Amino acid sequence: MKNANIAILIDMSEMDNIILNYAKRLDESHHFNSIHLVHFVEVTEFPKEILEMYPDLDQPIENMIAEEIEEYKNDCLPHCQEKIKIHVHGGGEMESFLEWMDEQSFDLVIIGKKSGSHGSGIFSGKMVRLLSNNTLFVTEMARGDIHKIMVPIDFSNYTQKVLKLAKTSANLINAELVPVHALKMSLQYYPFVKNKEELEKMLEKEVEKKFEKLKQKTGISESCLIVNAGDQHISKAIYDQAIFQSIDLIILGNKGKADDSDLLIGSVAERMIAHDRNIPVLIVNK
Amino acid sequence: MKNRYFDIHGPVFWPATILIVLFIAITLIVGEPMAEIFSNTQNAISGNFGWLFIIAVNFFFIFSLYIGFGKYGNIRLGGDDAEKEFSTPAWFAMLFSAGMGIGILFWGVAEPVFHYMNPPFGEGGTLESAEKAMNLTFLHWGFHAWGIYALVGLSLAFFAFNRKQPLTIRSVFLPLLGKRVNGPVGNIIDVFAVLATLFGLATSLGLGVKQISGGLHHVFGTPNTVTMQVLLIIGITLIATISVVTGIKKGVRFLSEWNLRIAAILLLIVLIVGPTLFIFKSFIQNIGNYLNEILMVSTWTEAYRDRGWQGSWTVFYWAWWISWSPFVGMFIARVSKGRTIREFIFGVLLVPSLITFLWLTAFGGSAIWLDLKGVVPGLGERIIADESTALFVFFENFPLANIASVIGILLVMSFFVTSSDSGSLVIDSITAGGKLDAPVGQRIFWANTEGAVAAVLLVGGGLTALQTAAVTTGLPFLIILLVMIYSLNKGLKSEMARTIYLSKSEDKKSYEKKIAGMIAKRLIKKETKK
Repeated sequence: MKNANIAILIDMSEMDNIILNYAKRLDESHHFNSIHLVHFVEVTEFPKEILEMYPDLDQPIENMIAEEIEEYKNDCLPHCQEKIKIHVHGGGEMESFLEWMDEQSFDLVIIGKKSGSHGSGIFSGKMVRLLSNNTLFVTEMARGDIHKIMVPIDFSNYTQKVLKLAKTSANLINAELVPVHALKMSLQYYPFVKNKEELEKMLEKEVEKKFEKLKQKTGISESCLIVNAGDQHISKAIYDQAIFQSIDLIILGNKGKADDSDLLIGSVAERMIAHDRNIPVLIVNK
Repeated sequence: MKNRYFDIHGPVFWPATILIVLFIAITLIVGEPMAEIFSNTQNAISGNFGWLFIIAVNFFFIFSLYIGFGKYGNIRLGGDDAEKEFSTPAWFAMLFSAGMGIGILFWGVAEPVFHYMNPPFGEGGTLESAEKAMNLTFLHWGFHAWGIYALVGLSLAFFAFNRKQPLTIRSVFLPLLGKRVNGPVGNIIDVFAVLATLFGLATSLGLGVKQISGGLHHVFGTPNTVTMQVLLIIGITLIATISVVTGIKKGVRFLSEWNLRIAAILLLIVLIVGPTLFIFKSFIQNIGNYLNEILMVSTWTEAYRDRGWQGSWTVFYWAWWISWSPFVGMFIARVSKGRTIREFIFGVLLVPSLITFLWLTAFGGSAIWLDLKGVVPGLGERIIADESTALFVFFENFPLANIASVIGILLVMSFFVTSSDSGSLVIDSITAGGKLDAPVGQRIFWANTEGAVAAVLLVGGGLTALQTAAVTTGLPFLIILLVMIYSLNKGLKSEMARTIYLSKSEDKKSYEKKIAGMIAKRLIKKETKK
């Protein structure tokens, strides 16, 4: 994603520092074309109590927010002043904010994700479902330097695109690419193949064969890691593996093979960004 | 191309125009033998693909019920805050007159009597065949027909108003094709839509002008020839052009409201001077019969005893409605912003169907009654002798026959103008990349092209040619519609998910607190700076 136009969603919390630093590190390798610092004002108007508390307020709150972001910018991103734009979207209308975001057609949207508290994720959860951009979730624990990128692969029609994108990113930042596939034993084989290990081997071979083809198409050289999901959800198997491998970033498509259109994001993507998961995730939109 | 008089989407406009010109040229050059080619084509398509039309149209109807009365019913076209542009009576008027105006005047008397005299099964001219005749006619003009329109209209409206896509057929394929809707696949879809619309419309215009010519002949004794018909097309197209220039809100609304008023007057005349009691009684009974036998009649495919009846009736109608569907669909989409999906399906399926049923009962039903009861012996024979004069032969049996006939002729003319007007608006917006207010010059071009195609079809083979045009362009478009349903369903599904997610409320209190904290911090900072 070289020369990309990116947006960073600023939420006026302590997360802002973390994501701005993260973005700064990304910018060093990716040389973004422009960086938009965006804040969405979630309320239509501020309640009287708040306004009465500050009688000497001499400007609209939107302007104050913009000024505050301006300061962030000076603190965190002093080297790339000229390509930074600030946008505070007032009015509290989510629809109009989404429309504005769509018009800008950013290549990447960076969102902070606080782990722990359940309620704070509503806004970011909405964003990843309702925006058509690629979204990067940066967690509190995120380190700016990325050494290992994991790409879960399900051989759906998104896979190729995701893998290519992951490859380019990995090359840019000299990171190691770890493609991973989670095996799920299907019951359809049950009566015919009794030996479980035999079946597992068979499935593994099949995956390797499919991955060979993918390798040729995408030109990557890494081999695919196969994990057995057993009775768990595949997202759990993938995540555990990511922790085990100390992965710094997971890149995956917004929908997988089995996901229907009434879901705005797939089940794996949804679980990867759940509030108790701590690895940054880049969700690539179709 | 940014020009005041010309604003087209080349990859759709040019292929469509070239194909149409090619068609006109070939028909004119080949001449006489073309009539046989038309007839063979029609037989081949309805013989081999008739079953596909039958099953698909049933599916359309059921699917439209599913989206109208299922969980998607509450989605409002244009978003929750969209406002209705037209009052409900004006909306009904526009739905009805854009949908079936000419057809129902042409076939209203002729079709029931045809089925009554030559039923597909059983003996003609009997009590049974009379009831069956109404049943079959209701099938062809009823819920199934409007189901097709409702579906296409809804798809277009949904993607245009809720997804902010251009109002063209290709937009409906967005969930399937993604960005590729703007590429070659999208262009091909739109070219098919233009051809289907144009030929479907030309079929109607051709029928309309045949009837006008037949009516004039019947009342004033003017020659009823192809030359006369072509001259009439030229004249009426000129009037349509004027209507186009005045713009949709003024021109079409004025005419379509008057269409409905005049049609209502005509219907009233028949209700009063005709067999009033019989009409009302049979209206109810016919609807009951229709509802009772809808499953049987709508799935009948002549599988066991094939007399080739269905090809020239049911299959022709289904193909005709399908080839009309981009036109009617786009028009009803255009006027339906601000209505919920339930309102839309209910309005489009039920209201026009019921009005059509009353019309068919009053006209065709009365004609059958006159023949069956022996009030006017031989009426049936005279009506089916020439379907273009059927209406006027029917009027003969009532007082003020000539006045009624003249009103009838004027009404067909007016329907011709509104159809041609709204048809060219639709084709124009497809070939201009979905713009709703493209330059007037183009619409005049399309209004004239429709007239030209109708004239060429009449010269090339009369009624058969008209039917072939509808059936031929209907088939490819049927496939497009089937895919469209899948796409619409996908779109509605994700719209539902979106709405649900959008309505999840954020924690506003904590947001306000956060911002208040920020303000306090800034104010303190300012103070210390001072």
